Amino acid sequence: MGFHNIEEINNIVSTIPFIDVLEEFKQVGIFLEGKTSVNLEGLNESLNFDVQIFPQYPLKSHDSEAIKFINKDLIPYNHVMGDGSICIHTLHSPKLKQKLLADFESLKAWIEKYYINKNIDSHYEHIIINEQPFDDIYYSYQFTDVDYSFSKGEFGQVDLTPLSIGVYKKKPISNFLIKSFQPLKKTIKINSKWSEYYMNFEVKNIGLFLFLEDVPAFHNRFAFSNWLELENYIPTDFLQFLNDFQKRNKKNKNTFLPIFFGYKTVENEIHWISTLVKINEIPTIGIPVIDSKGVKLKGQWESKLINRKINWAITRNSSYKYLFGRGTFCDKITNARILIIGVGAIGSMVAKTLVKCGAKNISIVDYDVKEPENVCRSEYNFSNGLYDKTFELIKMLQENSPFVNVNFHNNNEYFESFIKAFHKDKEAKKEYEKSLNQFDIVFNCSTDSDLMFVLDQLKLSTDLVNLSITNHAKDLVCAFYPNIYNYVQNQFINILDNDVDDLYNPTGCWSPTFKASYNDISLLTQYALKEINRKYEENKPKDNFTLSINSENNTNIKFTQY
Amino acid sequence: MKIINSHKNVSLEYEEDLILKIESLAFKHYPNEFGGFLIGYYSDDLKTLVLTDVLSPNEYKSHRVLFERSAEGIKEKLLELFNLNEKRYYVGEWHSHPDASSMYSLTDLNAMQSIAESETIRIKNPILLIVSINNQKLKNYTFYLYDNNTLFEYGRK
Amino acid sequence: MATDKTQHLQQVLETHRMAHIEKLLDKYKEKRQEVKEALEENYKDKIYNPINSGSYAKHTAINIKFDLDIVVPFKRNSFDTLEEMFNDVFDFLYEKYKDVAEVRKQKVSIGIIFDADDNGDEINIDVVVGRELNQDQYTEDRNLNLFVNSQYGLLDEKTYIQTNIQAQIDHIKGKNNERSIIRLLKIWKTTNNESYKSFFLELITIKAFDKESISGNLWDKLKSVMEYIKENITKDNFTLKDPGNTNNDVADTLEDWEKANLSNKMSNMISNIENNSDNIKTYFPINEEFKEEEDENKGQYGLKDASIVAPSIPNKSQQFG
Repeated sequence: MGFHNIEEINNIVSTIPFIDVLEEFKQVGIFLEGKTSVNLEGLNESLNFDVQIFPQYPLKSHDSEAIKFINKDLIPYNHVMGDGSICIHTLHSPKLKQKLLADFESLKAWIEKYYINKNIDSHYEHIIINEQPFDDIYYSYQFTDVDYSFSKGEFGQVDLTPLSIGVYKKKPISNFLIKSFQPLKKTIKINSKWSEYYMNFEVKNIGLFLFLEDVPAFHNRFAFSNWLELENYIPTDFLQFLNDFQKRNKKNKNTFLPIFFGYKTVENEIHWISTLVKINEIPTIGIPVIDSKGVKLKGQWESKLINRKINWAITRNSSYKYLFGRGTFCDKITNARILIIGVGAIGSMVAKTLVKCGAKNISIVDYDVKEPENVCRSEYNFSNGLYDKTFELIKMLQENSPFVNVNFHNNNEYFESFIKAFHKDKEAKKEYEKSLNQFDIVFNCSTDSDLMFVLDQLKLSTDLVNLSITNHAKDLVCAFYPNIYNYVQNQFINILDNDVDDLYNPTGCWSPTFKASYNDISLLTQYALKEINRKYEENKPKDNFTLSINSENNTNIKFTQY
Repeated sequence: MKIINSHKNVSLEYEEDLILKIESLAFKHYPNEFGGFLIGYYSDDLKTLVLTDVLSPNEYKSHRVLFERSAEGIKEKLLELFNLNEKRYYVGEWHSHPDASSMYSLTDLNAMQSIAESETIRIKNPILLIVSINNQKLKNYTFYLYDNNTLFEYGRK
Repeated sequence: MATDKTQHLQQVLETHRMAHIEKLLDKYKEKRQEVKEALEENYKDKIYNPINSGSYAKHTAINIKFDLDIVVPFKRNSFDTLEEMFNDVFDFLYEKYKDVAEVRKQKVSIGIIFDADDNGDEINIDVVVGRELNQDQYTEDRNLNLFVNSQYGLLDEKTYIQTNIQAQIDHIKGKNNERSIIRLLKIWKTTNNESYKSFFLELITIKAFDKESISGNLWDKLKSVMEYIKENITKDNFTLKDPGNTNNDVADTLEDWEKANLSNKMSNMISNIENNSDNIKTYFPINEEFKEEEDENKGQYGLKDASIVAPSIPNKSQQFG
């Protein structure tokens, strides 16, 4: 069947000034195929392209354009795929003519930029690797920064910790983290800079590494696909090491051994790619050493790579820079030592948001336990059942980021009962001050007026931020030390409409709680955190503010700066 | 004479002689306005204010519908009165309304407000007496109690 | 529930009056006298009579945070350098009080913080040491040079400052309306932990009254002054001349961003209070310690000082109609 009006397409293409049609489009299977030639100022001779139009055109498919311009001679140039197709992206348009013209314009732009002017992009693009499963299972290895600079040809052992087993492209996958490197000729262990939590994972597998330094790819872009292509990259002592390893591990002959090759990308960054080989299928052969006269030296063998396809496994650079590349809070927050007092609905959201936004050091304290009815409006999971809030939250936060160290702060009762009993005692007060001042930022999410009162009396050098919410989450009050207690009291008693009659009474004899959903609370909490981040980022004065929801006609949030 | 202010449930006492003294002061300046400071004391329970005297300003401007008294030199006289064995002190203001009613004007209210808010005034409820006169006689007079930006009239028992 | 702003502000002023802490104040005065006498005895005819200055002398003090200041005017020929003079007084006071107080060098003064007594009261006396500008001229012109204790060792920082404390005190004399507003702004600054200097707030308030027609009730006046600050503080040519030395521009002590923040703050305060009068309680809180019991003492004439009749002195002309 035909997906397109071929005549219309031929007509449009023939009107493009820099295009000569060599062969008109015709239906070939489900594709339309044609040949064109491009003539531009700056080109010595015209460039020919095979053009392929997919049935989806002018819509995109899998985020790729449904049109391909192919010229295999152009593979060495930037943004050309292995099949010789030029990588172009244009704006969405459902209109055939508009889209066709845009795509040819974009081809023209590519030629001018990368063929004629030989531009080099400022951002780095990874080499193209065809990631494969091994015995029908995918393997992935994530690595991060280390405090070490590898030298060319350095090799040794890699310690791997299993992260999870899951599903990837409908096949099983085994996910690993690279925990550390042990260069053969040194007695050091180079640790990856994951958080303590991940560094405490047990090493269950090992692999080998070789730092090539140079990129093992054609045109800096297409990863080698045969072991022979690595001949000038892999030193013989590594091959020897590989053979020795094989000899020592004969028993595990069918086990996959991951081998990591490292190379430099930009700004001295290191990337690792990985292949898996079975121990009895190491891609080398021994050949006798020959002297200058062509005579085999008795008993002397050396290892050579053999002609065999390389299958590449999956590796990812999951360093902080890449993991949080899409957006974080400002450095003043992410690098801060942060304490969160009270991790109920608000506190758990604050904690999780901080971690998602790149915070690296968080301590939490709360005396409370999580009951099933807490789940619906906090970050806690039902699946964990009844749990101490701090324990569950720490686990959750660690699962969210491999770069956050989360700690318990002191005793669970520290802020609940001790501080209230002892705050008048001079020595105890000093202790509390010291304990709080070791943090850069303290979020008090306890909504405990007594605690606000006590904390306001301390001499603090830390930034203390207090977040509280009125009933029905109609308002959020954000106050900064030392103007917390009086301000929050006045807001709650006189300014905001805090309806304290209509509270939610859970079963049992304990204090009722305010009514509000996850959506209600997180909306305000996120807004407040955004504003707090802005204050830090732009160095604005830390003045108190309130957020009030007005839902008369549609939902509005009123921000009031004090 | 004892009159009651029902707003605050307090009373005011004064002798007829005092009214006569005020009347004669007012007549002396007719047809212009005149006025001055009211002097007296509170009972120990603060329920009753007893008026004892008036103090005339050392400097003033007097017109038909306007009277401006200065505070020049009053401090010394008042401190003298305060140091008497029987303490007497400033409790309010009086002025005349020639050929007009004893109803207070907006100017009067503003003046009382300003007085009550002044840091050097240590009473919260200064009183205001307005004396209505014509060319022949004192027509009537009204006492007001200042409280909360408002003047409240005293009534007879 | 709406708050009557003026009535509230009056109560704020009232509950922050020094009269509430008379006993503590007496202790302060006693200590001040003691320090004064010690200095007089030690320096004899090297100095003129020490004078009282600071907020208490200016009647702008508030009872939640204050100190008492003494200015010690030295004769021109008493010391070779201002630094020598400053250090000599510091050494003297340090030796005399080191066992019962913390004596420390401050920017232009020497602070003495006496250890808390049995009632937990810490007495705080500031000694400002100055030297007359010209020999034997002090009694006439009151001009003094103060040593500036450069903490940061910046080269371009001035090492002395010329001023006239008597002129500073005289500048505010008789300005009762201004005083109320200054005290309110000081209460705001203290209770909201703002870092603006009292002297700055004092000068800008007086300037506001000078430049604008400020009238109405207490809130109207306060608002006018805040509006004046908001509108003017960020202007390029805005200055606040130190009445003690017109070459000192007190507005200069704030960085541009601090001025912008202050202007914003004033703007937020005005609009938040206008939008909801209860917000006035956040910015200008009543000193609960001296708050009279409510119930509006029905059946009693109201006194501003709890159950003491103090003399009331009308201090300005009034018009009646």
